[in-house]
Amino acid sequence: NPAFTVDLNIQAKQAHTSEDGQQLCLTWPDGHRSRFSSFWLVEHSEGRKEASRLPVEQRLWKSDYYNSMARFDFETLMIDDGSLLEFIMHLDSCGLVLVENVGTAVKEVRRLCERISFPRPSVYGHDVIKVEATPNPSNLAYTGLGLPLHTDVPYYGYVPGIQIFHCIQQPPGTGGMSHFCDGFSVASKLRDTNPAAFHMLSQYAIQYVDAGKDFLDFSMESWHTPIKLNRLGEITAIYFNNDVRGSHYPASLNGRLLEWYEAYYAFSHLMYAPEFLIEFKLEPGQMVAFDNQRVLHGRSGFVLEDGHYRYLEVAYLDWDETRSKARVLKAKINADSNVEQ
Amino acid sequence: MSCNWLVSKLCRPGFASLQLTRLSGRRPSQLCRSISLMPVGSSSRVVSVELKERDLFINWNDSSSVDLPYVFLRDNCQEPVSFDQSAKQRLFNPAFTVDLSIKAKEVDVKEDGRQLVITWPDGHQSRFESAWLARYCRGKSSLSGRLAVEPYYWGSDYCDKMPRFDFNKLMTEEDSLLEYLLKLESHGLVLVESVGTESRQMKKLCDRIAFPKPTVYGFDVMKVESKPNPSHIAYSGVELPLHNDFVYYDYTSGIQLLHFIHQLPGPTAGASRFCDGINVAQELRTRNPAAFDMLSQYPIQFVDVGTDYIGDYDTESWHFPISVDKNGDVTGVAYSNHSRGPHFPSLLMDKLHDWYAAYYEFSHLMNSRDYLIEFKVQPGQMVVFNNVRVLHGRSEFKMTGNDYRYAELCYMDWDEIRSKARVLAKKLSHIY
Repeated sequence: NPAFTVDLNIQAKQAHTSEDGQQLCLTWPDGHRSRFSSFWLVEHSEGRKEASRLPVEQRLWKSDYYNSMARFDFETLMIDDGSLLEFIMHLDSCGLVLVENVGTAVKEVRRLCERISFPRPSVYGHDVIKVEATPNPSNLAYTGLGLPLHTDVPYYGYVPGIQIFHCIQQPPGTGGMSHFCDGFSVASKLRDTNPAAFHMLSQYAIQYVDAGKDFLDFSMESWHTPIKLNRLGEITAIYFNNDVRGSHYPASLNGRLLEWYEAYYAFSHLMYAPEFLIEFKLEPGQMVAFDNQRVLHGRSGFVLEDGHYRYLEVAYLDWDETRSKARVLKAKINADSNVEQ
Repeated sequence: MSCNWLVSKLCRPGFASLQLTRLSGRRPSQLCRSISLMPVGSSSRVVSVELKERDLFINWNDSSSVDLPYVFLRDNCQEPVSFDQSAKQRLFNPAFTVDLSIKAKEVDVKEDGRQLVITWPDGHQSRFESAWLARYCRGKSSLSGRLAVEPYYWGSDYCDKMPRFDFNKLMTEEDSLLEYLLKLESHGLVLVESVGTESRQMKKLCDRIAFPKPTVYGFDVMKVESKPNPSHIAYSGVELPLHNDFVYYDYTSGIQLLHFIHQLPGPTAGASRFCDGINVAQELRTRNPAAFDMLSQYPIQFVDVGTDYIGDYDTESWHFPISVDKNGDVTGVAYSNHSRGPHFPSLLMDKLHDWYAAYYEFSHLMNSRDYLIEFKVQPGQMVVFNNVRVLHGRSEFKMTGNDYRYAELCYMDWDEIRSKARVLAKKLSHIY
């Protein structure tokens, strides 16, 4: 523990560079020696961007993304490490990917989660969550209603980072279409075109709540800014769900509530603009995986005729384990192909 | 959504003016301040209203008044057609159905001021209980999902004051369980006794609340025992400096449970150490504001690489050593010298010496006599603590002969802990 063993005013007694310049050796006053490779020194001398994201470029997208959306084959993902790494990198970079040829067996979402780490438990289920219309629903998802664009469960402090849907049964017709938009893309546009609204939504935390009985009896509450910024002003998350927005608002908005609603409306409308919204019908055997702190999802309503069903299975993952898996895969693939690091 | 227990807590005539006990000389919690600002009570009655251009002006029976935008009232209509009574969720998207310039057509004060009925231009009617309006008509100062209990900050004399619970009571009596959850929030470190020495007892307690948090180290209960090839220094006999676990996770585990099954002989070998990190941080702010700023304005890197139950892992996260919220309150600490990564934020590179000075001062303070506690957790006892507030460590030990030190460990997150507390408080109509 340097706080107990290293003097703040310590000075190296001697510095010695190897002949090829690849190594630096420092001798300390107590005789201890430290060796540093020049590679390490270069790597560490400039500081880093302070985020745990994977080293991939963040790619914002708009409504034309559907045609170029990354698609993966399920069985290949399950056995090929290169494919899995690419899947996770795409998820970190774009936030929305499609998986095909999953088939219609149950609990396939769990298999995919376990391939990465494990499904993240929540009040809706220990691993797999079944999405189908039920009487006395604990959540509006379990009805035939359309769902506006939202991110899941923002009433968690630790909002599940990744959501995976597996479509198992889908009724014919135009009901039950899936909607998505890139919340970062929409928020960026809002920042450019309506800075006052952007300020309102990124500076004032609002209440999200939900209570009910599902896998567990629950009474959740959390406060988030709908648009989350880091210290440097970069957009790092979107927490947006009209259904579970609480009735409490921050005291700092007293007298400015109407301004806040203007900002909220502006953001809500912008998400649905043709520029940003994508809409498609998930087919049985398809999975969609997305960043639940960036991409908003919704659906159009549906009416089930006799003999028709709509059944999806959902699971969550967290980014800590998912990024860990990507780093491990990258190191393994690099080692396997003998690439010098 | 209505939390009857909270409404009943606030239902005292007039303004709630709480006498705030100042514990350890610390600032009172924000939540208590906000309660004193709100008109409270089932005795809240609307005396009169005035329909303004964009707001409804409400006159209360205690002479206070408020302007509430119509948009807000329409958005929060509690009628079944607007608010699903089963899912407890808003059924419509006001951004698509409510005009920002909506104005109430008519407002009737009913039931001697205990109810307002608003008729909107489209004929829809919203009824609001005045108790609901009183509760929501002014914003909240405390913006978190934390439980509304006064925090109790502690130092080196905490051992005698640490709340103790009986495991069997926790497993069978709901008011004991609620008390346990509330003390975890307020105190951050509690002792559970009579756990016994059977394996996986902690899982029963976690399942009673929600579930253990799975991580790269294990699905639920993990073992802490000496290992010949330690993948983590916790498994050897070296001294473990004070630290928080999981600082290399964005989602740092909120609660840690540590159940001792076998313990070493003697008064100090393998003793557990703790300090109240938030209390120490607050002291640092008083003594050395510049050091406090260093540690609260720059996040630093934490990493952990290894192999455990799910295979290889390579985790990384960045946290402020001291976290401060918008109100200026310290909300947590992230400290782990053995997991601190080698990288610093770019903007800190020219201030590194000052950063290390601040870090050293914080480190010394947490280990100082005023703040450090040390005691041996006996077999059958379990310590449970807030892992984003309390730091834990261990004195070194040498094992000889048949000595054996074995503990079990698991984690939970605060979302589930707080949710359970709210559910129990409502069920038991508990006012705290």
